[in-house]
Amino acid sequence: MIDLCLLGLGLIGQWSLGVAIVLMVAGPRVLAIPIRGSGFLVARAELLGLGCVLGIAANSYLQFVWSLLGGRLGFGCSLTCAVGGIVLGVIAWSANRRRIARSPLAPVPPASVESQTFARGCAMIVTLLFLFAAVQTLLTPQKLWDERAYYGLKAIVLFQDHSVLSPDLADADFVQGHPRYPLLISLAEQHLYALLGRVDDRWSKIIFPILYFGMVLTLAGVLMRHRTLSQAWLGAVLVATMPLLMPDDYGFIGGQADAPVACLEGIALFYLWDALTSVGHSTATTWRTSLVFGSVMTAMVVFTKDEGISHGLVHSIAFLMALILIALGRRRSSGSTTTQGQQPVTASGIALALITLSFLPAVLLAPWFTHRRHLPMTTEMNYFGRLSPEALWKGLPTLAWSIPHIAWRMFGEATTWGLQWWFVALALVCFPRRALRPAQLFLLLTILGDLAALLLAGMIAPVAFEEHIGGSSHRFLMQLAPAGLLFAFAQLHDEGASKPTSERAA
Amino acid sequence: MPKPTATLAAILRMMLAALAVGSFLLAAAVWLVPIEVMQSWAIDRAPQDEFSQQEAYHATTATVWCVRWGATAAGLAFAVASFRSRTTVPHLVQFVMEFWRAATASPCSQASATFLSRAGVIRLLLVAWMGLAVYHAGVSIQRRLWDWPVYRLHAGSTILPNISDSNRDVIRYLEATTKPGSRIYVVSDQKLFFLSYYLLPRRLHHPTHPDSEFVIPQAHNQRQLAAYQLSDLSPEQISRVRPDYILQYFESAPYFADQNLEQDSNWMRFQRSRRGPDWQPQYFVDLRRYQARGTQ
Repeated sequence: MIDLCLLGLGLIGQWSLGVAIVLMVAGPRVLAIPIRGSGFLVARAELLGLGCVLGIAANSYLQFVWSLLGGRLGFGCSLTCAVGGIVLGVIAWSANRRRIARSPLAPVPPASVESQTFARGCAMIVTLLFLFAAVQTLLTPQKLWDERAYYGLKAIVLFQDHSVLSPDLADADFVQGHPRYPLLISLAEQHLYALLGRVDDRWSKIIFPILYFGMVLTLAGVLMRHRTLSQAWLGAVLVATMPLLMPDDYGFIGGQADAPVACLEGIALFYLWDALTSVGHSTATTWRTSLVFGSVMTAMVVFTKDEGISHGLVHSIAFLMALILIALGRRRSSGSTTTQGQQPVTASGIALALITLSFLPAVLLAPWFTHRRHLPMTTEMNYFGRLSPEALWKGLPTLAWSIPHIAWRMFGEATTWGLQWWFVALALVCFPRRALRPAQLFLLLTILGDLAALLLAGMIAPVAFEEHIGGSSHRFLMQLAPAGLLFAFAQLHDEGASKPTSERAA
Repeated sequence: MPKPTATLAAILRMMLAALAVGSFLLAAAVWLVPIEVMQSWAIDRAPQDEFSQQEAYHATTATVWCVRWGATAAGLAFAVASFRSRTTVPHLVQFVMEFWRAATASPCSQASATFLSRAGVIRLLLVAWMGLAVYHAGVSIQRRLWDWPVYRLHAGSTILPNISDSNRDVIRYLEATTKPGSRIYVVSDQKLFFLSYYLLPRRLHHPTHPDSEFVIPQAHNQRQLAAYQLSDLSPEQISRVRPDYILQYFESAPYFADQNLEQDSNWMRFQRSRRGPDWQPQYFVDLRRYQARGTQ
């Protein structure tokens, strides 16, 4: 019983650490959205959700750096992280309350009674779905290939060797899958083993439903800034009820990395979309904060699975293209300011975005890539090393199989994986002009770029492409599903027609 | 109250009452019918092998208990909601109406959202979305109930889920015969990730043959993986790992054609103690202590 209490303490500490980081970066912006009568979860969805996800990511990352510097992983380290997280959370929370008391936030137009009822109902559904996922997770030990061969195995070695510098993990003959795969998940599982004092691959999976809950709440929080309360929570319920994310075995109830990548990449895109939607608006000074969260999440996607590298590159390029489009559009339409209170996106704004989106992930990922160079290449696909004009030319015929296959996975198998790609297609066909808005174009380009990256991987991978793409495309599409949902959902509602309930003067 | 809202309220009131009655009827039926009747019914329909029979028995037991308590709780909840319909139904009406409003694409108006309009098609899709979510939730509950006989609340190392019987036997053999923390050098035509996972803190080292590095294995050894044999490796390659044991484990016939499958007497004894004295090996397992100057 003590071991489970310690595990609970670890989870609370993780979440509290995440909340502290969110408050330190964002301040009162996300602490409380003053919608009277809507309940704690609705009003603080973003803080709670982002805290869950950022807490798990930050905890793993800090333990990685600590271990890389020669520190010992284990009970002491994990307990310190847990208690430290709680202390930091309490300090950040009370400091934030004092800050709000000193400079009260501007009043917000109250939401309608119907909206409040709907939001409370949706929050209850989302909470029940989280509990449903958590129970199912705890009813299954790790049983799939990737979760054991690539992540769970490393987690146990880290727990037993107390270091990321374990000589076995650096040995080319040690039996492990993908020795160079990043360690966010393995370290998160190791953290729980250290607190439990034993390996139990059922309890270590509890982090995955927490990531699911965090992703859903974060989407609700981000959407509340740009859509009505009801629309935001409908979006949250839609993302929570995609079958491939939950309750499919490969989704958030399993221990594979694809669902965490979907969560982290999804949140990175939510915030970058938020930044593009907010940029230049005189009433919203949130875009820089959103850019910081988007950049941090980009780094964490890369620290979760190697696909994160391609996701990060694709969405960074798409973001910069969208930002340049905004700058060009505003310059053409007006001189310095528009009549709708928009301010021009200057060259310095673009430079700031470029620096944040490239510099922040680069700094955060430097320790991982330094360490990764010393890890063996056994069973690694080495996509970047294989990329050459000859290989691409040779792989061209694979497209004749892989393009129809992916299209079938997206649209033909919708009853198995969910209707999200039909939703994307319908939203695109019904409102094609809205897709040309920079924020929407950013999501569309990211999805198309990621699909292109999957096709490219099939062209150059050293594995029979039918098996490689055929066996993994549904999991890759899962990683893009939250972005697809946001794109489709944002297409439906004209932002001008939707009254943001959480808009506030900073 | 406007007419559509009043109609919706009446429908919701009727639905709550029907759900309460239905849940209570289901609960009564499942509580009254003896569990043995349902167990026999499931066993009669299961395949005749012992595992399937056991699985059917335990899964049915779990299902019956879940339905008994679930239907009773649901019946009570629906009954309370039905009795307090003056407060619950207006909230439900608000919820449904607001869902409909939020699902309406703007700037399409409520009135223009006909069945074949853009907004109508998208609403239809969202309703189908919710239906699909409910269906998948049901399927997943069913899957967990059928997992229950084997998984229960055990950790993976107790039940060794989702691996071949041969892998499972070799793991149990190595657990029984080697000390935790041992280093084991393996030559094999198998992908050994699961052995490595479940045998930790024993450390497995395995020289991967370049021709099988990126080959995806298939069930029941339908695809033979290229593998090194002990004779292919130099003593230096092996001693570099500082192993305590050498394990030869091959399931494809060409790799053990010249070997006596019964040469590891410990393995034979271990398997026959679990599987019966007539057990005959179909694949090759040979575990030896490693001595620095050779493998004998």
